[in-house]
Amino acid sequence: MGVIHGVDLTKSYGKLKAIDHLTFEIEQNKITGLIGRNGSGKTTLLKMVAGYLIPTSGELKVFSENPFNSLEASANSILIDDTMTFSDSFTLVDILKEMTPFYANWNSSLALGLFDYYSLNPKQPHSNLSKGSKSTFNSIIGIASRAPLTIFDEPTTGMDSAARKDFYRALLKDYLEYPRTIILSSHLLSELEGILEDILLINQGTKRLHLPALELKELAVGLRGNAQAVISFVEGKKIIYQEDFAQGSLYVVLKRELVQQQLEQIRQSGLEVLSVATDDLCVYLTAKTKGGIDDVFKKG
Amino acid sequence: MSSKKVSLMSISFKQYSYKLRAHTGLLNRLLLTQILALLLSLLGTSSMGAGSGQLSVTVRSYSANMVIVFSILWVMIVAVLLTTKPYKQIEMPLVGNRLTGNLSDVGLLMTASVFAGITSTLGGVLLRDIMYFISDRSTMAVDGFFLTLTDLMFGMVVAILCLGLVSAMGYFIGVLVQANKAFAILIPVATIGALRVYTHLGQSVVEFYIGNVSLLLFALKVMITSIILFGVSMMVSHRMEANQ
Amino acid sequence: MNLSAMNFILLPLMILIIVIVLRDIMPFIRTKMSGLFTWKRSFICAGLYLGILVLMVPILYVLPNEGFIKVSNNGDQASTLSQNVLSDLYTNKSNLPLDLDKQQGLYKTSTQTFKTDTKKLSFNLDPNFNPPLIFVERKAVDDGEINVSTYAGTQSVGGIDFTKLILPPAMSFRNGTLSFQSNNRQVLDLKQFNADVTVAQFKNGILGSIQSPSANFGFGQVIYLRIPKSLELDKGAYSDQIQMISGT
Repeated sequence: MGVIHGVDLTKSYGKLKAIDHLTFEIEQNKITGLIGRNGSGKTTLLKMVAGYLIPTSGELKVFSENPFNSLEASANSILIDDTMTFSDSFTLVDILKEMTPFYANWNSSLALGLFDYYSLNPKQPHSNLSKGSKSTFNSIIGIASRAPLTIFDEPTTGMDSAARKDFYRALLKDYLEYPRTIILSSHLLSELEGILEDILLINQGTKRLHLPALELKELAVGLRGNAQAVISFVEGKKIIYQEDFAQGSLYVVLKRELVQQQLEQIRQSGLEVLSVATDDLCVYLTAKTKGGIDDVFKKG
Repeated sequence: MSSKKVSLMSISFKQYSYKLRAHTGLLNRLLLTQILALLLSLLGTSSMGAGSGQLSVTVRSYSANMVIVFSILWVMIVAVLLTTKPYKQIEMPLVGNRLTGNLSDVGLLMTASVFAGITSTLGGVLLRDIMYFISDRSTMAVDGFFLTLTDLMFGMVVAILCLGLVSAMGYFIGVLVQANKAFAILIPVATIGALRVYTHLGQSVVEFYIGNVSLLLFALKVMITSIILFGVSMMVSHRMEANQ
Repeated sequence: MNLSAMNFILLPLMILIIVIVLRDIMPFIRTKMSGLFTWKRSFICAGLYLGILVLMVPILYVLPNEGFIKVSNNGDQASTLSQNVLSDLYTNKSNLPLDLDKQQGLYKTSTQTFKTDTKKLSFNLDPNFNPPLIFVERKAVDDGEINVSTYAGTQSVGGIDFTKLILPPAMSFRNGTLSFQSNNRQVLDLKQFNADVTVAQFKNGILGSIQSPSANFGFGQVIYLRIPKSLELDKGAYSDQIQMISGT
């Protein structure tokens, strides 16, 4: 069952289309990763879902309602990002208390527990926090709110790696205890991989793919070895990425299904068959050219 | 589906109560402003002066006028500020929509008007008490010193109504400017222009509201105008995107 | 220059200063002290402030109503009356005994008694001293005493009658000469409490509250002397001002 339906969704700022005819569906009680490079439209999409922005065209439904200006949708969702601001009149502990009446499922003991764990200064105002601490604090709100739709936009910005790991772990644990729909946006897939069930990859406002995380792992295959031999196998097939890594050697990434039958043959001809890490694959899928940044240097 | 029916009024009230505490910085500014105005009021304003060979007489007038005027300026600034991005952003982590945001702002402004109206009028009492002790009573006219309780109440009600009206105007202007930045230039230009062309406009507007003797009529005019201004503000901001 | 005009210039200036304070200095202080002003502290401050202000109300009503200038609504009327009386006295120069103490519109500012042992009385008036009227009445006896009473006409500004605050002329008597010395320029700073604009607009209309009331400033003085029966009077240069009253 879908919580969010987007049909032919477009959001444009003047001539620039931040979201370009995007059709997608986010399923209930799943952790979906929204992956895309900087400027791919992740934040714009999430802000539309959270009801802050009006789609230019297309249809968007959150809990089968148009989220813009919808109280119902707002009551059932929360967007955590680094633009969240709180008054200096509140200490951090005050903020956690102030959130309680707004979110029906708010878990105070969890919020305070996490707050203690991260040993943030309870008397501090929010605006004085460092970037990483701010992200950490905001993430506590996101987890403790237990909103039926919890959206994190780049939640780990500025966090150190220990804090990131703690955050993902805390999120996953609480998710298992209290399942809800969670969207995590990031440009870094590697860290998230462990907890994501679905991955929605967007690029330049369009959907590149939307798959369960496990399928994504198996989606592509990398072939490496003698350039001639590689080309003979992949000729005429849609190549996702290619890289010259040494003289006369080539590394090619393409969909596994395209060469599934030939894998044995490929191995026998002395080529390496490699699995492609999902975050690398995402980078390849959202690259503007097949060779990535290498192409820039080739021309020179 | 865990979506429960949420009530507009209950969310608005929750936002109101949140903002009341979130915006105490503005309250601090009011106290500072009023105290400053009170100190200035202690100097009085010399309303008359006359002199002859051996004698020169000045009459200094004392009243809470400055406290009231400063409070009106304060509520105007607060009303405009509430519509600006930094103050609207405070709503973002909360449950709500544009309407609850506006309703809670209106509640906040009404509370601000009541508080500022009461305190600024009572400022006149404080002024009298201080003057009683620090100043020579033999040069002080007894008339008007002992404010009657009725005048005090009356003053409070009128001050609250004036503050409420000004806050509605400020909020309206703020919303217009947020909707389109051109209003930031257009409104002052149009106001000054209108006052230039129709020189009696300002006076007749003032006359319309306060040129009457009946408190009830005054209250009615102020309330209706405020409701209209707030209503239009809400309609204008209804389709505005947040965080823009 | 009218002093009230000064206020109209000063007020916008002050408002400008306040706006600058609010706009520029406050955010600076706020960032310096953020975290100091939690909502609880602000509420406590505001509560205390309101509490003190409310407390001021009973205090105001408990304060004794003493020592003030009493203001009569007909203060202006009183000074008109007193001006009439004075001009009457100047023009008619009555030679009948007067009881100025009972004369409405005149207020006795001082009385003094000098012992005299000379045969002759001459005068010395300060040129700065507004020409007062001096009435001289001969007493029926020779008691060797000159009784001087000074009177002033009602002085009021905007209905505030400040006649009682006016210092009488300084007098001295030496070697048969009675001198009246003008005081140094007397500066009076009167204070009145006005209703706030909020209330005043309903009472006088918005413009009525700004209008300045009239000032009545006829600085008329009357000196009344009672001298011993056989004291010789030398009017000197002041024969216009000194009026003998034919005694009984």
